[in-house]
Amino acid sequence: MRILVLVKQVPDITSDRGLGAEGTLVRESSQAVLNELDEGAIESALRAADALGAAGTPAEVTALTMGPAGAVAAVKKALQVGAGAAVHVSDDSLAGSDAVVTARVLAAAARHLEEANGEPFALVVAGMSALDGLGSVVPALLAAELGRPIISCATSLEVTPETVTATRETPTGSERLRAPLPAVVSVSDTIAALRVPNFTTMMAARKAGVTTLTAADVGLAAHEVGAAGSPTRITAHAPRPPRPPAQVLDGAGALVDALAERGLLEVGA
Amino acid sequence: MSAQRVVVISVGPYTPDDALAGLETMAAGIGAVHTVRVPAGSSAQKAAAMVAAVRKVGADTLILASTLIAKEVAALAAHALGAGLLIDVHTLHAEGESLVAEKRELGGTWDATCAVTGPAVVLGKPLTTPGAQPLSEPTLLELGEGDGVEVLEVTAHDGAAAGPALGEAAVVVAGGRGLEGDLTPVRDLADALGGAVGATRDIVEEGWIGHETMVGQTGTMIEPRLYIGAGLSGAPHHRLGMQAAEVIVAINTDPEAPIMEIADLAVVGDAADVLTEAARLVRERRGTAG
Ligand SMILES: Cc1cc2nc3c(=O)[nH]c(=O)nc-3n(C[C@H](O)[C@H](O)[C@H](O)COP(=O)(O)OP(=O)(O)OC[C@H]3O[C@@H](n4cnc5c(N)ncnc54)[C@H](O)[C@@H]3O)c2cc1C
Repeated sequence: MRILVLVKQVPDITSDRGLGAEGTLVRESSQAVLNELDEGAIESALRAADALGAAGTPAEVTALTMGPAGAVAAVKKALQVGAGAAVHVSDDSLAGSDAVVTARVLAAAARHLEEANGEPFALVVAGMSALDGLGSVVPALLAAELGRPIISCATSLEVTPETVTATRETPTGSERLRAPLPAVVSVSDTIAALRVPNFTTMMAARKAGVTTLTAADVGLAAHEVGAAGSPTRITAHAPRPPRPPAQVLDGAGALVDALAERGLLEVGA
Repeated sequence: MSAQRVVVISVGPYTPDDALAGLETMAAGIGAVHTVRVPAGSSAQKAAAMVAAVRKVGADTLILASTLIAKEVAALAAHALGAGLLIDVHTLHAEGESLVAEKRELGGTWDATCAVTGPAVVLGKPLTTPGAQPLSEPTLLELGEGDGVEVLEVTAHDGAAAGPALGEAAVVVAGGRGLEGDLTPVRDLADALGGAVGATRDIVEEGWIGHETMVGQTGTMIEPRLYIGAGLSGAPHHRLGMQAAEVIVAINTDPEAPIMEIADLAVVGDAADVLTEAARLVRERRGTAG
């Protein structure tokens, strides 16, 4: 069996982040890091492969990313901890892709790899959001694109050769859900910490190499991707004015006075 | 001059009235509004029900209240409708053929305007006015076809959190490790102000309070009028979820805590003491003492 894990390079959330001329994120590679939530995705994919192997169905993990040249670091990280293959979709025409197009490209790449391997990915695993746009919709869009079931925001996963069962938190409680394979899941950051690379996986990573694909390679024309293919566009953007230093108040009384002056005592229900 | 859009607003079984009123306000001015309610079910079943409703009334816009689970539903519906997705927006208007949304980006540090031409699915984050009543009585839909996902079990958190829902509340009082395990003072001030209770991931993991109160990247992203963070440091993952608040108040024993850097108002002191005293004074002022 094969498992696909989606990973993304994003600007470090503690760095000074900004939007560029086109309203898209400035991707300074010096500050770029693996999206923290994808660490849990990689670990979950590897654990799913381990569980399937133990159940007598050996499984291999492939890591897939889309992004500019530097984004390749994200899939390399997955190789270093035990993924068997890595794929990077990189093409100038992809710049400015919104969530709908990003999912379209990732799904096309998954289908391309499935055709090459002669079998569908039993499971596609992603982080529940990327810490740049925080949209959290790509995994479900990708599942719809592939025509497979989706379980997002999983805080635990159990994978058998036939099904995936997950728990997740909702605004009012928690849910336990089950989907038949092949399926798509996205995982929460609390699901698992990423394992440490060992000598064997590091050596294997060096040999594995990364396959690079263009939009055309996965069967997409230029007008279907990037800003051109995206239904949404950013038309204006500006940094919010910096907040002035905090006004330090002496105790609860001064605080309640300040809230009252600003009319904030009455805004609650 | 603007093309009239037809809008379907869809809400879940437990959406409070003021949240629905907020979405209706958001849709006002865009076009004719139909409000529907979906029963409990899997996300794909809910999405299919909404898509059927959108097609039935010939709408080009679907609006849902933004939560992590609603994002799953919205993505499935957007795909079926061939629609663009506007995510976490707080205002909406029509401009010619386009639907235009205002939102905050990068953890609330940037403002952005996004536009979509053609069909749109919108995840709205309107600020709700307490006690606001919806304009319409939603039509109850029947669940649509699913994608094979079975809901095996639903567990409701006990003591169904009193007060407004965290995601839409105009006031949020959040606590952290500095509360040392007892969240009573946080609940007390939230209650006095008519706000919701928030928390950091650390205290959720300690089991001091339920996950539904977590503010941040994998919890709830909030944009209240007033946010009060007490006994919490303001770590980057937490800031990501609350920095879009209009007014930020920090209560901390450490004047150097990172939350102080983004606060408008600050009190250096013990979180429990300040919260408890503030709750008493607020009740006095609001005339709700005793
Ligand atoms: C992958 C990942 C994701 C995360 N996601 C989130 C998230 O979504 N949301 C989130 O909140 N966190 C998240 N975190 C955790 C985050 O990094 C911080 O660890 C957490 O927010 C800190 O919680 P805290 O402020 O309660 O505790 P601390 O950082 O320990 O801060 C406690 C504060 O309380 C103050 N204090 C102590 N005693 C008192 C007192 N008596 N009165 C007043 N003040 C006092 C201290 O001065 C200190 O500033 C995440 C972490 C990781 C690694």
